[in-house]
Amino acid sequence: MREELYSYDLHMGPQHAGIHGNFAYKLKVDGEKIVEVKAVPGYLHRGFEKLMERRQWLNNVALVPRICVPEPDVNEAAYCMAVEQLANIEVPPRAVYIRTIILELARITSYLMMLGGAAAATGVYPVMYWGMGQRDLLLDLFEELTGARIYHIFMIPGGVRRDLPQGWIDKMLRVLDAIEKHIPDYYNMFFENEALVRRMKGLVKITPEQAVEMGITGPNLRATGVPYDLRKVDPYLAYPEVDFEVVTHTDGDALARNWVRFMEVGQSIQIIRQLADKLPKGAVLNKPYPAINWKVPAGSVFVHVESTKGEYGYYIVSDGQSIAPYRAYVRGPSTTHAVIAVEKLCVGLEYADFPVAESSLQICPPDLDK
Amino acid sequence: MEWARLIDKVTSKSLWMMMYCTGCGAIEMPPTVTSRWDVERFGIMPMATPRQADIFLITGYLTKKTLKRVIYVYEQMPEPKYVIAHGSCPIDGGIYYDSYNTINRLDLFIPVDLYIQGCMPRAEAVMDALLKLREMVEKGEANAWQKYHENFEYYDKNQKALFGENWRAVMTL
Amino acid sequence: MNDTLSSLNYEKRELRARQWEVLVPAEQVEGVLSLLKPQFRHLMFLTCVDWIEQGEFELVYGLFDWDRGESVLIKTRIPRDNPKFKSLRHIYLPLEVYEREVHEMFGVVFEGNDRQYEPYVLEDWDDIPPLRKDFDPEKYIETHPALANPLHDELILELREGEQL
Repeated sequence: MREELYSYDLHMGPQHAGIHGNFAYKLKVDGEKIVEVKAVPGYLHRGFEKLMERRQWLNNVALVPRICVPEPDVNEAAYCMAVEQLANIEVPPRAVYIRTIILELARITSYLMMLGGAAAATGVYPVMYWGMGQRDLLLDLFEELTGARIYHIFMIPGGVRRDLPQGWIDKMLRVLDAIEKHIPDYYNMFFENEALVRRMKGLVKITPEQAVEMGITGPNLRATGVPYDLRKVDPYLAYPEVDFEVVTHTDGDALARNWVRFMEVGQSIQIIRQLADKLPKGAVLNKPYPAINWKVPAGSVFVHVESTKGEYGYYIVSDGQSIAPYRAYVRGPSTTHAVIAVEKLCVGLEYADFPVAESSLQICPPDLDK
Repeated sequence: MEWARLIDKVTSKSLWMMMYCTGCGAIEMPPTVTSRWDVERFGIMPMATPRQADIFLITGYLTKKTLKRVIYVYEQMPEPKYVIAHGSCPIDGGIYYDSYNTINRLDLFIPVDLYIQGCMPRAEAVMDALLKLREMVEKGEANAWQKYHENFEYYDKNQKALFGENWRAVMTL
Repeated sequence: MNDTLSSLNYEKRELRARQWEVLVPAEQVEGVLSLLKPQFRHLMFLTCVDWIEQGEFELVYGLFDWDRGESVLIKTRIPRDNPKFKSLRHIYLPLEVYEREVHEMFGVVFEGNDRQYEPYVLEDWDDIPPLRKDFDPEKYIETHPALANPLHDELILELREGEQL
């Protein structure tokens, strides 16, 4: 009775300061308290899977990074790995290492942005300003390497487009040193900041069982205390050859999720240093296929990689006769995070805490809408 | 007449930018407004509500579903208002030219003052566009918003062709 | 290979390291998923492939074992002219949203999932489900000229006239 009389619908987004990206939630609220959440996706639906069926195998390399803007490289890596698996192409070891370095650099850029976003949701802007400034150092590295700041299109089936420029590794290591030097500053501003900690502590607590049940992946899963990281569990590229820790936290709340993300920046820096040390010499591209009208042998495969948001995967089907994929399916981590997790877990929150909770799950709408 | 020019001059010194990430291009907004390029030194800053915004930056491709909200937001902004279309997609569809759910040309639906081409345009390009717009405002040349009144039948016809006759009445979230 | 998985008496094929596909008849999918659930606790995805020449839809359930890093794709075929399947969201919770997506994109009806009829990503859709093979985006754009690039269209002429006003 009370619900009928007092609750009302509150539309949050798509144009809303508290929503990250072009996404909306329909909240039913009773006063300040949320009693029901419904996700409204689809503002970024471009029909990617249909577009991929209409492009040639190699043209798709230019299309796939556009699925997720904050971290486009995981798409290239997963798509290329899937095509290599179908066409049975061997990737030279140097290219494998370069790909891994790019993925880890992209992780850092994405985390710097995410932490900034999470802090800004609670009004702590310095983290965002610092994060953006340092992210740009990494984007400059990408620009020197690939010619573009955001969409690199550097990996193609069989390797990477070209070798590293001279002196690039040294420059990269200097940038990493600069970022590492600032890590304590971020830590103090974020995790020693009473205003921020009090808002995030205990917010949307997830247990490990719940997380696995709901299909939550990535840092959101590791924040509940289980060490499930695809880089360790189902290793790909050069990850078996480097030594790193899987960061976990036992609390499972918003603060723990951000803590895991923050700690992974340090791990990524360690990984890149090891890779730069071990970087093998040799060719970077093995291209035994024609650039146009390439027919990939029939078959299907699912390849997944660990992105900063969670498990990212491509299910590719080839019928062996056409010059384009017969079917390409993109598995984005945000599908379960934005719809299942938010709808089930954000009930009972105060309305004002919703943006903080939502930003702590780090939803990236384009990979859900596709 | 002189009074109008004074208003233009004053407006150009403080342009607030609507914060609505309609597409990929939103990724280059944070660098533009934060420490590296810092457009705030030119009086341009992001604003969360359409009621207080002067510039509407369309950051990238527009799906049908987003375009409806864009038109709503645009109509809510107080005049004078300026639209910058960011990236190739609002010009001719860009890489999504054959997508069944994105529009290929923005100025059929709302008037546009400036286009930034490229995919993705760099932060410098965005800044250049914003400064160009600032100049245009100062000279009183950025008057696309007046076109929306003058040619409303035309825009309305295209909007209805895309969304159906009574889309304004039935739209929810 | 996982014990439960190797005990299954269906056609199996290795797709890549630590990944298999299992072809299961439609009526036995529920049993197989329940059997695999204790080990393959993570549902990676559910999707559909439109085999238009054979007149069949292929549903693909991707399961993942977090502890051993093994994945298995359970594939089943259902008739294309009457695409109906049982909703399995009581086994894997995320299927609630994946079934909604497949329903919208392919028109497969999952009996027992009441949320599939809520619109997911499409709004005011007025054609056959878009990821079916017989849906042609070019034709769709032709019939919806406002979506198209009007460079060679009469709309552009009207726009030019409009600008002269």
